[in-house]
Amino acid sequence: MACECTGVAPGIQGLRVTVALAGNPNSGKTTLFNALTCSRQHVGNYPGVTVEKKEGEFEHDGMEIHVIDLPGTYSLTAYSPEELVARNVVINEAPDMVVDVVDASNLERNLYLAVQFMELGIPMILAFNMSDLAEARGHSIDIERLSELFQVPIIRMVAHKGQGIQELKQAIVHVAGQTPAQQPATVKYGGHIEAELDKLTEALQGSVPDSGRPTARWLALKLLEGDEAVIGQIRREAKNAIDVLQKVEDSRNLLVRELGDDAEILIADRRYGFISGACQEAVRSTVETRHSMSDRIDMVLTHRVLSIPIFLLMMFLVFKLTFAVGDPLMGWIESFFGWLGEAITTYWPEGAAPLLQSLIVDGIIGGVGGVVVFLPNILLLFLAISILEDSGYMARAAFIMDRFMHKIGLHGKSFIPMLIGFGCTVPAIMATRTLENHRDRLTTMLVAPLMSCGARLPIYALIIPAFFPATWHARLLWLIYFIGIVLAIVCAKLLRGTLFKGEAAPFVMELPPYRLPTVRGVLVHMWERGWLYLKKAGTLILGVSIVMWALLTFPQKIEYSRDYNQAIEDVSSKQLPAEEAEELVAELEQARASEELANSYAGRIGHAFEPLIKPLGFDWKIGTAMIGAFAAKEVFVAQMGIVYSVGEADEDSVPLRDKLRENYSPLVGFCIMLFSLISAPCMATIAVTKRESNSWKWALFQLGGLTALAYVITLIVYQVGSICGIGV
Amino acid sequence: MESLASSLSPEMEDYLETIASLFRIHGEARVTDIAERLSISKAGVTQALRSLAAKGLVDYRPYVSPTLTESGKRVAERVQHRHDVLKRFLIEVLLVDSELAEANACRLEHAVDRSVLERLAHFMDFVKRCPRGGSKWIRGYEHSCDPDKETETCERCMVMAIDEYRNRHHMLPTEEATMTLAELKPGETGRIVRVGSIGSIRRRIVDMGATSGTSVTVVKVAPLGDPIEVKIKGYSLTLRKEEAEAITIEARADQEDGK
Repeated sequence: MACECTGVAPGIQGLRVTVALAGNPNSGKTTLFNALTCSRQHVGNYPGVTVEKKEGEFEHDGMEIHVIDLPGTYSLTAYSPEELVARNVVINEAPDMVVDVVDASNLERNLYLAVQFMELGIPMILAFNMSDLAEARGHSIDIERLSELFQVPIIRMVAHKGQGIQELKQAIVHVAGQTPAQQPATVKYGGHIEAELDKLTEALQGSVPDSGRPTARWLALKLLEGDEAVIGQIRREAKNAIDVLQKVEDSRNLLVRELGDDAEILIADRRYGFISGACQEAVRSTVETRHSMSDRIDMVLTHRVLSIPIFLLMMFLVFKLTFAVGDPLMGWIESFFGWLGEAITTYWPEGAAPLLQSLIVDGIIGGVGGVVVFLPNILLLFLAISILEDSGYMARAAFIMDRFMHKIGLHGKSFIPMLIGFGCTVPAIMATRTLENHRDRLTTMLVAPLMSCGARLPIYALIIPAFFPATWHARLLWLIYFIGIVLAIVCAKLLRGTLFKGEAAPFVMELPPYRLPTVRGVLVHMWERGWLYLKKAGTLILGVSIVMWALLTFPQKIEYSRDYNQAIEDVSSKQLPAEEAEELVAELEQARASEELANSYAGRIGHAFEPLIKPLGFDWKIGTAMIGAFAAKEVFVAQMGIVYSVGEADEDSVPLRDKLRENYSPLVGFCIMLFSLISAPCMATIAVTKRESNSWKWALFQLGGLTALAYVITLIVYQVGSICGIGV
Repeated sequence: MESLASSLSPEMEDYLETIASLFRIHGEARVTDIAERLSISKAGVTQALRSLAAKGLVDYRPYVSPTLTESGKRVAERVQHRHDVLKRFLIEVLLVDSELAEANACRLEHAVDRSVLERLAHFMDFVKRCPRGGSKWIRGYEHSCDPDKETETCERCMVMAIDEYRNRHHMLPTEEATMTLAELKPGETGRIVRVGSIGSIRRRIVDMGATSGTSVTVVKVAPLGDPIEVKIKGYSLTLRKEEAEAITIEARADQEDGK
């Protein structure tokens, strides 16, 4: 450590600048963020909320520029976590400026957000994105005039073509160097409102820290708007809170009386008035072409008759892409890890540290394999989702399906996660990211595991032929899937009626114009999701895999009912024909494995739980296999194979089916399927739920809730079935 | 729910209103504060709270500040709304001064049925809109309230009313009628008069640009009949019919003819 760092040289502070990037959804903010920061990005979460935090860096003119990508919002109310985060970042993290990305082809609504950032009193730059489109639509914008009216620099750009990026960087450096910083124009709200604002500003003087941001005027404005977050803050922090809030109440009442509407509506009206005034001065619109390209596409895609078949076709393609293309890749990954395990086993010095070998082969390699195996599905699904979102179709899909989904307590956009759930719950839960509303998102996340995933299919494939005549097979499979769907709907309704009670999420949503997704945007999105999955969920899944391995492997020293090593030696010493000897050895090894499992912690837990699961018709063997199924649902089959000493069993194993038939009734078989369908989703699901909801609470609630539900339903089915003598 | 609210006594309604108001200001409604506001003894308040809790309108346990239940909130909101309509009528139409209006609205609100109140609100709208009424008419009424002024100006007033009507007629579309956005058919255009109260969604709709005076065109209805797509401020917005029903508009007949 050479000690040259004796102090910060003067002017150095100016070399690092923080910029908050803001903008409406669909304004091209992400494209700009990618263009500015290239690959120097990192993604995290804001504490306590599901909102994602993206940051990046770039350099210009020797200045290090740190970019915080704010969530895309339309406004800065306390209406959604995104909006709260956006304004809190500006207030608490005190960036040096805001760069607000404005879709120039949709100027007025985009400027509404800009005006609210201006009110926060922070230096800002407006990036007029998609200026080419605005011109094509016949809007000619006098940027200089508008810049003068708003008192902020405006950069004209076409982000996806890279136009204007350099100019924007230059402007950031320029604004950062300005002292004193330029203040944006103030919106005037007219006599009555201004009078009330003055009263409140005065009342707030001295009672809030006078540290510049947020200004007393901004607080007064928010109080007048009835902003719950700010009211709460004043109540907690201001010395004369009661006095201030009484004044707020009086002012609000007075405004209703004088102007005939709620203050927040009047204020929104005035903001739009300010914008529309500015636009009248600075924007000239020639007659708009009557039907834009987008409208023409919409005539087909949201057509009264065609839209639903097209939608179903799209969903079919998304599903096919995710799973049909993904499956061979998953197969390769599985065989690669299988091969790796084999290779290590082969080269492992005979008899040396068998426990370590088992940890590496079964625990770690198995675990990493179990994480990576989901990656093709996730990448392909997000490829599809990025294309659907960036092109603008996702909003249409929600528009088409909303009526139906709304009826069952979900949002139009919940359709994709639910559908993907039939393939695999892990990417399904990741797909809930497309839902903006927190309550919709959690509801979808929590019920998604009820859509019977592909990993449960081997269980059904094992059980159904074991107990039921061939004519029933298809019908039973349908029944199981159907039960899952019905339960998902019931649970969604239930959750919306209890935990996530409140106003239904509104469907006040923009239908953005259709756009061609860029290859880069899609790839970046895919990469981001895949990486986040590996980093956040992957490590958790790996950890749980090792715990599962330990449960199944320990304790090592157990008392076998007979000396298997001796017995195996006996067989080989008997000089039997090779085939017969091999068979006998295999039988002995299977019996030993079965005993080991029975005595492992998992087996003991299974035993301990037996009294609890007895009323469901289950014995400890099923219990143990269910514990194994927590690692991955299909493991149930292999575990049943081990406990019944039939060797490596898969869902087509005839000996295992025979064993099942001998030991259980068809009713129990059905109950196994029912329980596997509803109960605790696999650990990967729990890990992803934890990651996506950003809270253990919801992950554990999902785990506990679904298991309890499975228990109750299976209990009823088994008990009623037994009493009525169905399938016993 | 409906019957529950109408069966509440005025005193009980006052309680709900007070709790809601205290809650907005202080974040809680302490029994002491309620007692002070209503000038009733604390014991009286406690008793009333128990009775409200039994009706499922208030969550109340001894020594903990009461909170309104969801249905309690709805009742309180309705009482407040009734109060506002009455007060506006007293101030804007009858030209009563605002303090007197406040006091009288407080007494009137408990005595008026919901249906009468709706009529009153409607009437108020009508007075403002009808060419034979309007602001001039109310000003004329103000004039007539003053016993010193002469009142023989009917003819002049009617001529003025016709002028006002013709002026407006010239500026506004030919057939002006208020309806809700949900009633417009695809292709039809209207102008937003007011976004009605539908909770926090109201704010969202206005934030998205649906301010009064903005022109809005229905583009299409989703294949399953809901939601609808509208063009507003040059972009496409979707909303459910229940949301569209809360938006009052003036239909613009000229646009329809033009198609």
